[in-house]
Amino acid sequence: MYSRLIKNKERFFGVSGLLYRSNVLMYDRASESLWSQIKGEAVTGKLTGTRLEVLPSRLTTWGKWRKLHPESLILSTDTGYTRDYTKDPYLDYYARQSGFWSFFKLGPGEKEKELVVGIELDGQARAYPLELLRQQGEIRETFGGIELRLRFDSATDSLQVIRADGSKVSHMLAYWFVWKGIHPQTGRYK
Amino acid sequence: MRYSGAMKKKTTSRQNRLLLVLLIAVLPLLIAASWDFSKSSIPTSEIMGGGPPRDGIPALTSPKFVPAAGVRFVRDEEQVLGVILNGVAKAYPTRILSWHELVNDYYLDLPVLVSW
Repeated sequence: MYSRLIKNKERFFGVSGLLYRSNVLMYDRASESLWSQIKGEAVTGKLTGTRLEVLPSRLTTWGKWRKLHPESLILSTDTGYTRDYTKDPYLDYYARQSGFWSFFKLGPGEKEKELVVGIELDGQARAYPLELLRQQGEIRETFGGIELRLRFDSATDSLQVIRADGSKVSHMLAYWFVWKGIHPQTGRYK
Repeated sequence: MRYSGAMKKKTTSRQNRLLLVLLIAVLPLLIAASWDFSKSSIPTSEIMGGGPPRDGIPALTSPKFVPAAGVRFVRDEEQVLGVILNGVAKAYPTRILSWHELVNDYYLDLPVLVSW
């Protein structure tokens, strides 16, 4: 999730229908710049190079979430659009192993559509397989000279990446092949 | 008769192939013509149509919410994106997000973009 404030001005976003290396490109309606959804950065148009501030969100289940936050609101299916909300239109996509094109060769044990925790520090990208973090609960490593601690709590599905001083590092959840598409030089934790 | 039929088929398939090649050649030009590529940080020749046209997948701009208590349309084991910000907690079932990919939302006065 991102803030929609760009230089203190609110922007509205739409779906461009375009892809760049398996990355969905969104656009802001005011400047019509295209933005990488995973990077949160404008990649074409007037705002090229501008980044959106990442805000925390978590992927969890409704049961866990409503127990933690009984006062929570939930998005209504009354969206103004007629869609079959009983079905996720991407079920086939989730299950299928390959996108349209393959942009790189998978390493041993890697899957295109496995979720990774992606972080960027000083322009360097690194990915941590979510399943590995789930199993271990914690990963500690020094990346780019910075001591990092990744923590995953399966009771609440909360995921945090923190530096030694306790400050948070923003992260994204993405499919491995999507993350690698936008960050070809990314490292990957093993 | 048979001969001319075969001829016709051959011409049609050749025409179709020509059309396909033309489409592949023209599509990137169409994309470039409808977006501002005068500035970019990626090779714009690698930008491809994903299928639906612009806004073919409609982003939500005034989403409605219901309180968690008494909600029946989502099962406990279903996946949601959970957000707590400015003291407001919201959950977005991912099967709804998939139909819209983007939600232009607010947490009090903070405008946010939920992307899926």
